[in-house]
Amino acid sequence: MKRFITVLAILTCLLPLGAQPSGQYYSLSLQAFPYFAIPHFKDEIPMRTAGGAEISAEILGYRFNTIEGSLAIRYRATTPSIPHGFYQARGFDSFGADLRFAYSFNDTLSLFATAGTEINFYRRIKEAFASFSTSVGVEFTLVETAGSRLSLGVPLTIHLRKEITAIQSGVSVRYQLFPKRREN
Amino acid sequence: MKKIFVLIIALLTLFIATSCELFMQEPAAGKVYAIFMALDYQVKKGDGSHGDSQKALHGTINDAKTQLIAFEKVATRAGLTFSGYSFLQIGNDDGINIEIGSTTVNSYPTLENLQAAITALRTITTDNDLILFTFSGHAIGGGIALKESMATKPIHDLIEAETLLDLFSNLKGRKLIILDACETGLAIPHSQESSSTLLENSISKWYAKYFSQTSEHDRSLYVMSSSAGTDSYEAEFNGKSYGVFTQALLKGLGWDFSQDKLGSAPAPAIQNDRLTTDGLLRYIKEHQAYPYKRSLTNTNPIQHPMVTGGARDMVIFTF
Repeated sequence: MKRFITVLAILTCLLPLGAQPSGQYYSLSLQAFPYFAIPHFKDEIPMRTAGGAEISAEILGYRFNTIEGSLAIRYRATTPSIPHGFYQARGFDSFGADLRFAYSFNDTLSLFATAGTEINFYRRIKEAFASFSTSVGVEFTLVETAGSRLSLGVPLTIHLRKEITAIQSGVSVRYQLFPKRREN
Repeated sequence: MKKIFVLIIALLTLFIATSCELFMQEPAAGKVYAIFMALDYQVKKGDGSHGDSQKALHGTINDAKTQLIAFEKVATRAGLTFSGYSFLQIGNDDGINIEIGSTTVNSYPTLENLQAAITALRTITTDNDLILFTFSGHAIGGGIALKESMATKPIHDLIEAETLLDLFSNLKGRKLIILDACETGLAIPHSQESSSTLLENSISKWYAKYFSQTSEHDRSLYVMSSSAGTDSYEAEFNGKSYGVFTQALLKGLGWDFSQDKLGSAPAPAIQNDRLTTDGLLRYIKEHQAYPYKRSLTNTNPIQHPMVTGGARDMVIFTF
């Protein structure tokens, strides 16, 4: 855990230094997703289905040619699962941070990956838990100007909880703002 | 671009179509077996003085008696067969013999008699049944003040929470233990995944839990407590004493205190045709006569109800 925090701190310090040229950006993303929770314990059904939404802000981002890297903070809300049987998966709120990397194949298509961690709070009971998330996805540029970009993403996220491994696959809209005109 | 949108929609539809909830049949609810245990600790000595090791309580017996009626009616409205058993200590009265299945059990609230009741239930319960146990009385540090056996009367021992919960974890079906007594939040078994923010408020501990090896526990056993690590209180409502927590719970089931009976409207704690532990907890927190958290304007003591954590909420009744 200490090693992870150290790496995160170093990257946090390095990214703004690299971001001094015109490739620095900020972004805001919104995502809606179905959430498929696969329990590690015996349950009535093999998977419980919920839904959710996520808002994330890349606060330290830098783009160089075809490569992007950023540190993002995010809030994710996951609903309780569809009622079924004698149990129902609890809904929760998550607050986390991610490292995000992307590679652009051309003007419209990019591939991205994220890795992060979060603290989750069950909404109705005063219980919290830690977890990790990782995702991969493709992103399509919808509109691009010299100082901004609007794109549509299809991320596939794995939420690694202690009792559950969850898959969330949704659609995201991402707006990037480059405070300085890009050189690439 | 059009192809991409079609692909995304097809992908999402495929994911949603694979939801187990949409094509797997729900299990049919079984019967409800409920034990309502309460002690008033008002044992008198021969000279009429207080003869109990614990302070007298005035709302506990009302708690148990009213809960029996309320739960029976709510279960009946849910279309379930209900069998309720009272284990009451009222003054110097001895218990009576009651039938649980084909077994005769004495109803005086002792650990021994509770063990006998659970042994009897073990022969008749199934995986689809709901087993309910309520306790109103004294507790310290999660352990409840209960006699070991009739022979130890009138001294009340502290029965450890683990001892109590182990008894129920051997039973088939869902088990809901409702404890209205001081510090009963400490009796709630720790979830393997989550930690109570009331009792363990530290991010480093939450991460430590993620990586720790924790022992498996009975995931069909849920405990609802009247307080976290603080005292629980009783108060008068319409001229009768009840536990503050139990009074809110009864209101959540639809109990009308002005009429002293269950109202005809559906239980207000029901959401989406289901009464769940979390739904009931939410209702209790919102309607409890005493607040559950401190504030500048609050002069009453606080008591924070709790329920077993973890990934799942338990459905008590479906309507």
